[in-house]
Amino acid sequence: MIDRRLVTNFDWLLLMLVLAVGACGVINLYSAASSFSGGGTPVYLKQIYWFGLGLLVMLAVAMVGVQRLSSIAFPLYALVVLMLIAVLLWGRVIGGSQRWLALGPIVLQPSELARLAVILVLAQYFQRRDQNQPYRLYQLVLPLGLALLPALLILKEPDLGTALLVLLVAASLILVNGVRLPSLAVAGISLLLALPVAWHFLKDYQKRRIFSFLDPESDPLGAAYHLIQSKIAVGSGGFVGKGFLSGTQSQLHFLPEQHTDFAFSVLAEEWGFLGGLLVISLLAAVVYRGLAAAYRAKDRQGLLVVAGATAMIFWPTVINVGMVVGLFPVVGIPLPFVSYGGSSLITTLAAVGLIQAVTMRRFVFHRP
Amino acid sequence: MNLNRPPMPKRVLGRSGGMEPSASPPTRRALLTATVVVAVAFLILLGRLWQLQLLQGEHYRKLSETNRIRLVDLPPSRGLIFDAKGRLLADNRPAFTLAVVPEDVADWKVLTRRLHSLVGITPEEIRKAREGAEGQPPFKPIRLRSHLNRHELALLETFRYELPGVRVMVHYGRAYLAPQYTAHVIGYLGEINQQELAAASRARYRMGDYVGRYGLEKSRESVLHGRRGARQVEVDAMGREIKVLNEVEATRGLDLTLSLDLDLQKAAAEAMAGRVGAVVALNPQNGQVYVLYSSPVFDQNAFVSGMTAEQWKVLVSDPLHPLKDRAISGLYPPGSTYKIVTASAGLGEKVINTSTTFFCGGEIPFGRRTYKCWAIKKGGHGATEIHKAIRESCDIFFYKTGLRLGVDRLAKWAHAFGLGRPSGISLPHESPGLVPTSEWKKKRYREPWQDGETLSLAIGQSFTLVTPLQMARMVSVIANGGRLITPTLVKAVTKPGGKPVPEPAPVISRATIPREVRDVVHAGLVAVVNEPHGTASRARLKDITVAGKTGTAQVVNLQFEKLFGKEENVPWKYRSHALFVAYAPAEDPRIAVAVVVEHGGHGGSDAAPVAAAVLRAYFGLPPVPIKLGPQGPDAPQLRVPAPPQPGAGGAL
Repeated sequence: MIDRRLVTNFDWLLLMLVLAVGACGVINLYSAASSFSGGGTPVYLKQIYWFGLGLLVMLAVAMVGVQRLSSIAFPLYALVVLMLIAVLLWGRVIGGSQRWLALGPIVLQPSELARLAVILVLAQYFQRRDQNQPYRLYQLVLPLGLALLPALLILKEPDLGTALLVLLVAASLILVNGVRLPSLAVAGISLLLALPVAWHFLKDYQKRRIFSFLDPESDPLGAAYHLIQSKIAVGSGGFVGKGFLSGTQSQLHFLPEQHTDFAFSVLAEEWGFLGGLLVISLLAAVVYRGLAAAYRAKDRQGLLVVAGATAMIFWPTVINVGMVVGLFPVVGIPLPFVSYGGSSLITTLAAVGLIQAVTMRRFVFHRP
Repeated sequence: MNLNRPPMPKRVLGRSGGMEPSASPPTRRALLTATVVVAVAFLILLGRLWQLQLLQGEHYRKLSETNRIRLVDLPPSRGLIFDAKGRLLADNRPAFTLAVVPEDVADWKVLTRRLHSLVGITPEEIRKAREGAEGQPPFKPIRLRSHLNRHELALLETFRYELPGVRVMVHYGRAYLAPQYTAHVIGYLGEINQQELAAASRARYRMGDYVGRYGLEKSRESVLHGRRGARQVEVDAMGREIKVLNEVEATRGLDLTLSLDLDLQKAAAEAMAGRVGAVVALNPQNGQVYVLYSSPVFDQNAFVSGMTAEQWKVLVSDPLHPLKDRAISGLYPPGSTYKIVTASAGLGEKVINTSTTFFCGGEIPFGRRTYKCWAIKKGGHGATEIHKAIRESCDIFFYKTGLRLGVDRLAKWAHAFGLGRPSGISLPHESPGLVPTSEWKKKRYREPWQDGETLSLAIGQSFTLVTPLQMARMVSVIANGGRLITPTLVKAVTKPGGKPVPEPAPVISRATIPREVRDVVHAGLVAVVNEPHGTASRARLKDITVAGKTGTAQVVNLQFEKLFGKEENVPWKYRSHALFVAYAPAEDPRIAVAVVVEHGGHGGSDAAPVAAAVLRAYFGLPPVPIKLGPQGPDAPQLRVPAPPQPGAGGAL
């Protein structure tokens, strides 16, 4: 039943890299959440459970394959959009925004599924058009719309970070697919012009975060405080760090959200530059395995799916670490494999599954 | 990894190593660009890490060791609540907590003994508090007792110098200044719970915050709460605050000025003393509520200082349910006050006119039953037209009118008077009441509507249930010439600085009943109070024309005379509810009142005097002592909450 070549062509190196960075994340969580009082399962253990579940999802996606997943790309996309609308209507409010949908006992975050659905639907769209020329702008109206619809719904929740990721992933995929240079220039300029419009749609607290990034003095008690504390944590780590469980910034709770969005500052404080270098290199290696897989994909659809899946790992990595070290404003985006969080972990591992699915089948030709 | 290799010749399928990539040249170029972008991005991140951790590492290490910055949360204080004349109803008052700073204590044994003799804290309590604070830095105060009273405060102040380490900490908590009058309207606060905390944004609510749980405190939580501030402080390695770096002050919540008038509320409470029920008074022209009183009341301030489980149990197991706001959620059969609806419906649907005359002989047979008029002992009212029927509350007249109308036309008119749906006042737990229809009965009981039920319905018995607020709203329709008002409680919302935030104007619906119909009913209601044989002569005022309608709502259908002999012997729980609705001055109504006295006896003798007392207070007439009828052998004794202690108010 299972083709032997599927096993030999499985990217074992990619799996090892993912396991390694995941292990770093769990060890870091043990420290980041060690001072959380209260009963229940410790956060690092929960992260291990989620990781296990995520690996199963990864295998399942890899086994099913991109061909079969793509055949249901449009229904899946429609379902996700419906779920995003349902979230806005009946969703559960957690932390001031509406992101969760309860289906009986299962609570899920449709915005996480949205990225996967957008990748599959765009790849399917471009595969069907089968155009070898770079795309012109008007030809991209439909694909851009396919990405914008869920992104706007997610922005309404409000979840700026995830909305941004959907757009970045979609943009990466479209760019890899090929856009004519003049068209690209026009798109870039109109994007710049659209920024003031987008500004209108931002919530007050999101605007404040951007202000405080541009001018830390303007809001020393809100987001800028987080930024300052995170920079102190990272900087004070030095070359070798303060040692496991010894980060003063993290153990004394100077850091906000230190087990989720700011997990990397705990890591950089306790393990120093060496620790940061290790984790960033591992994540970079994962991204390069993804790019290599895209390069070797046997058809356009596989290539695009892998490119999108790789973007799903690359962008949150850059944005999260960039935020923690003060290069970007504070946006709530978790660091793949390192931040605590079940749904983001499972989605990211599903993306790894997509990469594996294409890699495994690069020598297999399906029936014409 | 070299992604930029030239296209290679096709290799044999399945051989290890690369094969010709399927990517077209432009796509390959894009992938190559991506590779470069990714490399640059990761290099920038690493460069920044290098900069922060190695180039500036020393700087940040010093910051982390010496210059620790913490955020101290500054909770906002709550908006105040005033009555219509600017008298404070809900205030924030300092509350005092006794605490000990361990590092300043000279001798624990001496301190324990002194505290025991001064404020009665047992050595056991102190030991427990110290154990609970184990692991805390020694400069952090340990709380020993909250809500010190004046006397304890004075003692501690006097012996301050003999009590090293003892601190009295101040914080602000809610204090209700007229709890015996405003408990239900103002409501109370409770500590925020886990679920609410999870649903709220952190900028607004934190653990330990208090939120409105009842009354206006609940329905106006969003404006009363205020905005929290924060203070950025530098702390040393132990966590001790060294200096304040920056501060954003908390902003107090907005103040509410109510249309509620404490004088009238007091008059209502005093007239109802010892009775169970509710009084509502409002402006029939614009819906501003002057009185919203429910008896028995509960002690709002008991919620402030935290109730013991015992106190709470007593409160919720009280058979009279003091926590229930009878004015907006007490459901009563409207009794004869409903004849306002039946009369209007009969005239409006033209099944009767002003000269339609029915003969009242004290009873009429219908189906297998006989339906009586309350005046049966006097032999009935004789020939009766609408004016006389309203004045003397003739049941027979309204039985016959009801029969001509039928249940569904009556329901239509009941709705026009605002019955059967919430009034829209901004208070939690308002009950919609009940207006039965034939369809409702089929759904609810799977039985068709019986004509006999229409008879009872027409005089307000049957299934119909109304709240006192709905009764006041109903009579306002006649008072203001036929419009349905929406009752409002809040007159103005004001910023602490004094800048008023506009309140949405009260909604006044267009005419709900025709003017001619209203005029006939109005004349009848004036007659009820002012003409001979009217049922509410006890609501008459000198120089001011009062219009009204009495109601006596049966609770049980018993042959009282056979069972108990004299009326005084009828047990409290079997007595009818006494109801009265009124407005004045009849020529230009400025106030409408509704009174329900549970098991009070009769509307004319037991509820009308209460309404008269409120009207007297409104028109500035001197109060007269109220003599209500006997209460019955088993009437409950009501608990009256104590007014708040002067000075040291309630607290969190």
